[in-house]
Amino acid sequence: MIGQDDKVLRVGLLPLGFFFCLLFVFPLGMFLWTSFTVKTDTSTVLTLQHYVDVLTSDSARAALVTTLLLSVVTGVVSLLLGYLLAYQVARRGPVLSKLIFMAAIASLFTSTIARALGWRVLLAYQGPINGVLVGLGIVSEPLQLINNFTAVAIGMIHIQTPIVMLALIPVIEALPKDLERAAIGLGSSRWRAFVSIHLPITWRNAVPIGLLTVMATASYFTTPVLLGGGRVDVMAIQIQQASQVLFDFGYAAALSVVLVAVIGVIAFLVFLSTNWRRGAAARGGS
Amino acid sequence: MKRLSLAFDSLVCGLMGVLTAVTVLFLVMPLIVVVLTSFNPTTVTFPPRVWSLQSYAVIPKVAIDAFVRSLILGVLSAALSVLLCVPAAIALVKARVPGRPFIEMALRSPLQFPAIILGVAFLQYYFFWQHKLSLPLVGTFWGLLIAHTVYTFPFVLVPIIARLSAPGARLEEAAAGLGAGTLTTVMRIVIPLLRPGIVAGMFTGFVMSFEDVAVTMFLVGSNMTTFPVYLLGNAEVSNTPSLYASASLGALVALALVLLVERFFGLRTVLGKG
Repeated sequence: MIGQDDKVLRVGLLPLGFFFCLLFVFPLGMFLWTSFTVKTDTSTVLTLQHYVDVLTSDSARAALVTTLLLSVVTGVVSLLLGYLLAYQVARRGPVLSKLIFMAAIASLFTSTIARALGWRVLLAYQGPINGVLVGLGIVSEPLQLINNFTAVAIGMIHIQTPIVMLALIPVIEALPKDLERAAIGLGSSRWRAFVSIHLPITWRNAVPIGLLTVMATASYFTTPVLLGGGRVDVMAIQIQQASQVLFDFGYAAALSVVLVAVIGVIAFLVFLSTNWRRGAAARGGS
Repeated sequence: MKRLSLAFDSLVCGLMGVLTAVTVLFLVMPLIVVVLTSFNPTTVTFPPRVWSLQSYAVIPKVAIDAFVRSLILGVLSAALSVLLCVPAAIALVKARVPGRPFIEMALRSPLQFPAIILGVAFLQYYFFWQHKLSLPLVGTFWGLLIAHTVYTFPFVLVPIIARLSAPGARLEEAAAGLGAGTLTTVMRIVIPLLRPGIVAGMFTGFVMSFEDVAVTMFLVGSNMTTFPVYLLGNAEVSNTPSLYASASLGALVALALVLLVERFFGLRTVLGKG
């Protein structure tokens, strides 16, 4: 609080509030409304037809399954890799930790399209990865690595891992190094110190971060387009097709509501897991 | 037993080291490959058989225009976000606002909202206003600027609120105690102290705007394309060295920005606030 003049300060909220309502709440409200209506020549009729269309469409259902599968695979793998990197950044010497950090940041701030292009070259039929695999005699002929689910998953994990790492570094740094040192000093092995001290404490903060990754992946567009080669149909592609190719805003809106509902369920899980964390902390007597 | 556990320990540590090295390689490989591929003269091969800079010379003018447009759009939408967010954040944190948690949650909600849905909703909304007011919005710079500001402002708001809420010297109380008015205190104490938060917010806001595809691709119309949308459109239909050259240029700007922020503010402090 500054002085007694709260009224003057409150005015500051008005421009953003107005902007937010006019350009975020209103467009989305209108879009939501579209999902429940059909326009005829004379009037607008309320209907659930768009939702029926979405739920009975084989391609929409398949896209939903693909989206969920992609999100979960990406969430789990990038949580593991991000944790590993964050742990190394927090616990290694300054040079190595800086090197890992800068590598992750360089990757994070390169556009997702450039990175997808890089994967396109790496995963190509006659690309370097197939070259190494064939050269080492692991496979007899090149594998189909591009334009499939695996390629999209690799691209998505590449995008999410640095983000998870950034979020986890403070979590791991918050844990005093002395705790592990004490365990090791008392005769525990480093591995046991990690499993029985480090993991249980940081795990509670890591789960919500993983779920946020799942949510973010569920609505990704560029990577599935560029690395899926038209064979990996996710919800974001369905929405784009419905609105830009079919010009069916009602159907696009219904697809969006279904996607947001799914993401909402995941968000609810985030909420539950953070509450569970607080509950656990309370039970711990802190 | 002790020796066995020690051996197991060094094995696990070794494996973790290897896995870390592989992960770091995994993160940087695509970036290196994009840049190396751009040195192909005419067709995409990796590694290039002939090295040349030809692909950079044939980057089309459309790409350069889109690149400049994206830079301007990023700077303007980040600046506009700061203008909107600083007063709002000061009101939320420093004044007693009824329903503050709810307002803050609402203003943060776009962060977790799928950008692609925002894009379609904007397209429909713009069509609506174009119809009502015969005011062109889709395919105009202003239309893009508005949409980008809506998309980027939460990324600017969050570090500013975090900075304002940080416990520290209660300088503003001292200023008020010494007789400074509310606005004087805000202008001379609160906002100068807020600078790191503003820098962090502008940085993230710029990057989000500069790299956005999901919102922008619906609104570019026929001649307002932005750099990432141009790249996506081309990457979908072609695979030429000049595409990789354009992508490398984009990556270069991002890396330059990262180094600049690292040099002057320290990346970990800036990113830590976001």
